[in-house]
Amino acid sequence: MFDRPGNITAQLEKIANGGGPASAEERAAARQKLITSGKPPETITLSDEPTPDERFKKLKSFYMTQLMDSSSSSASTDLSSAYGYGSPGALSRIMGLYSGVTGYGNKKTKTKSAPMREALTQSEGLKLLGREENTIEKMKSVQWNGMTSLSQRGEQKYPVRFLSNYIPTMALRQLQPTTLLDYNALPPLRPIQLLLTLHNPLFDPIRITLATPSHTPGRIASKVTILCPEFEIGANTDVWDEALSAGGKEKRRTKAESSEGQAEAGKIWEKGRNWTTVVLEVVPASLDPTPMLPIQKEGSKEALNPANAAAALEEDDDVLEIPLFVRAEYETDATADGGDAGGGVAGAEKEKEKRELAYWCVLGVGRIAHSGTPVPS
Amino acid sequence: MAATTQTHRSASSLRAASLQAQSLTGSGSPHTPKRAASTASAFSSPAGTRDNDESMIFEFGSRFFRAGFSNESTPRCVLGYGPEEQRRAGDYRRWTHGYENNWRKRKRGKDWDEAYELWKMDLRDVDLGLVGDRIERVVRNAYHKYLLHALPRKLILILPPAFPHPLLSTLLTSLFTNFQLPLITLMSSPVLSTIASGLRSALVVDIGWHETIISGVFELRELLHYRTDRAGKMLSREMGKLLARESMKSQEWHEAKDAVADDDENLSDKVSFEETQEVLARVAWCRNYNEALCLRSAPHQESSEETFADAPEQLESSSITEGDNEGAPPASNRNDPTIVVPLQSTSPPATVRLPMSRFAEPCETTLFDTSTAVDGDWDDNEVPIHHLVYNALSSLPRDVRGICMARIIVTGGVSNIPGVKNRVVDEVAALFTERGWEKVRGKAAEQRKKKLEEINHNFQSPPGPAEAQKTREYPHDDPSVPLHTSSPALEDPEPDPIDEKLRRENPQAAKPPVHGIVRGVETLGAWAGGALIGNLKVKGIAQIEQDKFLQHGLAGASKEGDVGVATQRFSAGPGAPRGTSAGERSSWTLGVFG
Repeated sequence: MFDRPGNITAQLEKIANGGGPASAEERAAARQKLITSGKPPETITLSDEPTPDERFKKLKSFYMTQLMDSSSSSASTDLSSAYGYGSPGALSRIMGLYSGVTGYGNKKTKTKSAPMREALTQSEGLKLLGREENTIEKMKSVQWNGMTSLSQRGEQKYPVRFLSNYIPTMALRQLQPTTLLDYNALPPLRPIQLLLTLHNPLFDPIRITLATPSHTPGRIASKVTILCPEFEIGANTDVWDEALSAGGKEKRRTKAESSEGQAEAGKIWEKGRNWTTVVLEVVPASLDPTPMLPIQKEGSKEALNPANAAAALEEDDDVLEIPLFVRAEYETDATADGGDAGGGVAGAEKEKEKRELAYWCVLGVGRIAHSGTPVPS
Repeated sequence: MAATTQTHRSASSLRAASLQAQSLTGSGSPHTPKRAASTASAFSSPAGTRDNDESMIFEFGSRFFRAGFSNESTPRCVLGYGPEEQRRAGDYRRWTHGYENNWRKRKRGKDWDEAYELWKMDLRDVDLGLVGDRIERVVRNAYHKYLLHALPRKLILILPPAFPHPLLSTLLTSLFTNFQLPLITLMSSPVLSTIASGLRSALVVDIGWHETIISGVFELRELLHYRTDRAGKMLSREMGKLLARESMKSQEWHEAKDAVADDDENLSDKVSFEETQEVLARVAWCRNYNEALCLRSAPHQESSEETFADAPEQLESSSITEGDNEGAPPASNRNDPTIVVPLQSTSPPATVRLPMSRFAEPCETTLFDTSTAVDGDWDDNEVPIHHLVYNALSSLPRDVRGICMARIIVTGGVSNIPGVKNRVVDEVAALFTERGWEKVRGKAAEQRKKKLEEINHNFQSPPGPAEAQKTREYPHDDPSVPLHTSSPALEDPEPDPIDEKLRRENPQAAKPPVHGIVRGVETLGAWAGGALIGNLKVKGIAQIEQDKFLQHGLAGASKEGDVGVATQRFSAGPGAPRGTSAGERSSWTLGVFG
């Protein structure tokens, strides 16, 4: 879809315009052509009203010319302009200093810069307030569905999303596959062991340090323990490399075998080429409102309604989410992406550079079961 | 002459070259600096990349955030701060069944509309840490979804005038710490609105969310600010109340109808904020001056619609009259067709059928309602907009007023409602023709005027210009000075020989500026003004560097007088003053925000 990786917006615009750039000037030219061609006015579909884009361009050129006129500096790209010799006034003053000829003084008054003025005509971008009755009449003729909705207004430009490719991806799943866990109704006050798998997208091995508060923030505070918060993840090497080199020496997966099916603190659970799994223990808190809820509103409708037993809980209070701080350390070639760290020094290409990436993220586990509702098996 | 110029030019280029060499060798290594944005712009080298000329433009309002680049006419994105925008990636509940009906459970703030605004005017209850996080969130969202390409490192930040310092500090801290911006330039929105309309002086009426700010701008300097609460928030609430009341009625829910009070707690349970915004965006409109005048002079026709929100007893009577109307369906004629609005968020969902004219009421009551107080006797923050515009104009200096009254710019979110801009300008024009710029009004003033007219033939010499102005501006200070009965504002000004000479010398500005009439001008908005400024490479007054701000915070700012003010002038051409002015500033200022 895209020819180049950069300048996505221009490329998108090109696609949107059916291949060619539709600038304001071109539209204006097309309009002028329509008008001068002498066609009957019904066929002219382009309105005479300049679009905001066109007005912006006009204003821009107006201010540019005003700046040119007032500063009289011939070219902004001229190096000398950066030192204040660009304007003839300053130049003649300095020449006056050197030569001692008084004539330069008079010159100065002649070339004195004109004050900037405001835009006076429509061609300069000025637009007087027009009448809005036509719009209101039009509103009367179309119904509710004929008018632009807020979402329509908001979605005029389609966002393009690029995923960052240097953040380890994470996955969370249940440790014991025997008892099927309903993530939408996690049993409260019962420890759940989960497997957290991190995949390394980089071509260098990374060291990961995880941290989390022992209780999740918010009103419903569940207990969280990471059994092994520090570990390493292998590099994202070629799959063939692993298959060939690792061969007989190492098993493809190393698993904490000593503890069959039992998580052990301080040890990773499983490890592969570019991924590592650790165990996370969570004790979901109870949603039982008695200890932590504030006093319910007297006589409010929700309180009276028996169907809404947990109405005082706000939406998403029952969601179990774990804030997690991830710190990744790795060593990479200093010139690998040559930008931020002042790279590009010749002769230092082989140098390894330590880099660090640290961020907060959130793991969504599921919803805690309401105490009233039976957990479906 | 030519020869000397030639030699000089070569001398200057030599100097340039040596300077360049010096700065390059000064860093210690002989390589070309890769991303030295500051030096590149200082030399304004033609080989500089496009990114150096460009800057990012951010505009923070209390409801929406706009972000984009200076070479584009519209922002790349306009993002709200509402709970929907704050959802995590992959949270698709918005599209699940029955989502609209659950909004009551979803209340995030205390108030109906609190979750949708970035800050409140009362900063005592505002959690500034949360505001900072929300700013980070919205800017990150803009970065990753909309501002895709290599980002320019200069940022122009557009803020409403007199932005509260705690918020400003939070905002700058959030931007500087999270986004590695080396330099932020602060700009005030009314000045930029003026620029975006092609003018240099204007009276900017910004009908925003929390308040309407009326600013007098003269030669791109802000002179005064007048504020009133009558703005988008009040309008939204009025519309919400209207919808709540009508949806109740359409349910035939008579026992509940009595319970519909006008307080906001009740409103928050009836109609969701989103739907009210939708209705405002789609069908709200504003009567023009003549229609409103007809209604005002003949209030009995639509009394039930006009007085619905004022007082409980009035509400009662109005509900009775409306109850009488209820039997007959609202007449649907071509001038006032019935609009059918489907509401999802009421319980149960309702369809409101209202004549088009009813959707003009919220504008009428919130923005232009003069019935709540005797003339000129409003609370400080609830003056109707047109009166406030008039007050602002009459408190401007005379020359400035003449220029500004012919350049009234109505902007802000609410001004997009069809009819609002025209109405503001027309109402001000009407006030002006009614009163002139006479400040003293009322019975006593009338009597005194009459008395003076009687003795008018007694005084001999007409007062000189200075005296005349004095009597006009401060008549109560010196009662012995006789009043001019004909307003000097309406007279033709004396021809000014200096002005004429200037005009002769500069034929381009031959046309005298339009002044003395009430006239409205369209603007492209403050954001576009910021983009225009960003294009022109004008150095701002309030330029804040990252390290300096992070060292001292706002307390590090010096007073405006300490830093050269002349740099903001437009006479400073592209690149011209950089070498001669102080160069790198040691101190910085908040400019008009200080």
